[in-house]
Amino acid sequence: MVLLPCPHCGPRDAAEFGYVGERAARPDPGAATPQQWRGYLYLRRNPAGWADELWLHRAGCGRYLAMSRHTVTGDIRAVRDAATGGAD
Amino acid sequence: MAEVSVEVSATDCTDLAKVLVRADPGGALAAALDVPFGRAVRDGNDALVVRTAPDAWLLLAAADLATPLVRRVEALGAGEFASVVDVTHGHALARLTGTTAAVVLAKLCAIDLADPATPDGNTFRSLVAGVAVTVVRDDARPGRLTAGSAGATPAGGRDARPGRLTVSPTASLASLDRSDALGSAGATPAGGRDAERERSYLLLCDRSYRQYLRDVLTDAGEEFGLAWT
Repeated sequence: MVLLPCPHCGPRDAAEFGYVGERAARPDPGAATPQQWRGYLYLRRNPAGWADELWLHRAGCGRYLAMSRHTVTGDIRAVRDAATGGAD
Repeated sequence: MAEVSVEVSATDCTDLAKVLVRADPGGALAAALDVPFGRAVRDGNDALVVRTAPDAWLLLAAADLATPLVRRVEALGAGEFASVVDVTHGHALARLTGTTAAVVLAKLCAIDLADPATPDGNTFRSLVAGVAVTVVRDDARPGRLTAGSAGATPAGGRDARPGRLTVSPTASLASLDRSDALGSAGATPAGGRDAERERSYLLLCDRSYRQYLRDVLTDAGEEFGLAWT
């Protein structure tokens, strides 16, 4: 069983979580160019290494979590509530 | 000493009133409900208030109390951005009771159900047989407490306080005794622990999984003689 840490519920089975995607800073709607919006909506870094990701603890507390996860090893070095911890 | 069942039984409690509350955890409504995340508290023997998420509460009460419960909670959160929704018909609820209830549940759920990790009055939401289920440890005991009896302390060990959630102090008690489904949620936690108390869990899931949950519980409890009542 792969365990992911939830700041509210503690370590839980990865099956309880849903992967939302890489976290990216949302451009200013008033100033962003179409290219910037396209990059925000569709382009991903997809690194083989540390990535800032958004996960949803859908079968647990239901909160969105900001997670720093290594995409090769699966190690997690930081996790926090994306809303209360200041989501992008 | 009263007899304690050595078997395990399950009861379908879907008819009980269920009210879902979403609100700012730092707001007035959260302060009025006053239940920490991961805990379930019986409030004045009227409703079982379950904090299922940092910003969500589930209130369980006798079947005929849904409407007054919604009105009362809405009044507590007046002027606040919050939602109070009667979800009675959208969720299924079952109670699993008996000395082997934890063993049966452990076959379906990865959470540590031992007393130090999941004591009476504790609640969590996790996968049970692959379905997202809110589990409330709400131990039942014979000769359950009533509001007027001495030591009727809510789970969590706190006395009912003025200004806290109440619904209908007179009618609801009779309703709870009728329903028999919320059992003795007025249980006192460790410290005032009753040796005669039976381990009991409330399991809440989406109503579409009602029959599935019943089937998996029946299957898991077969070796322990689980019977539906």
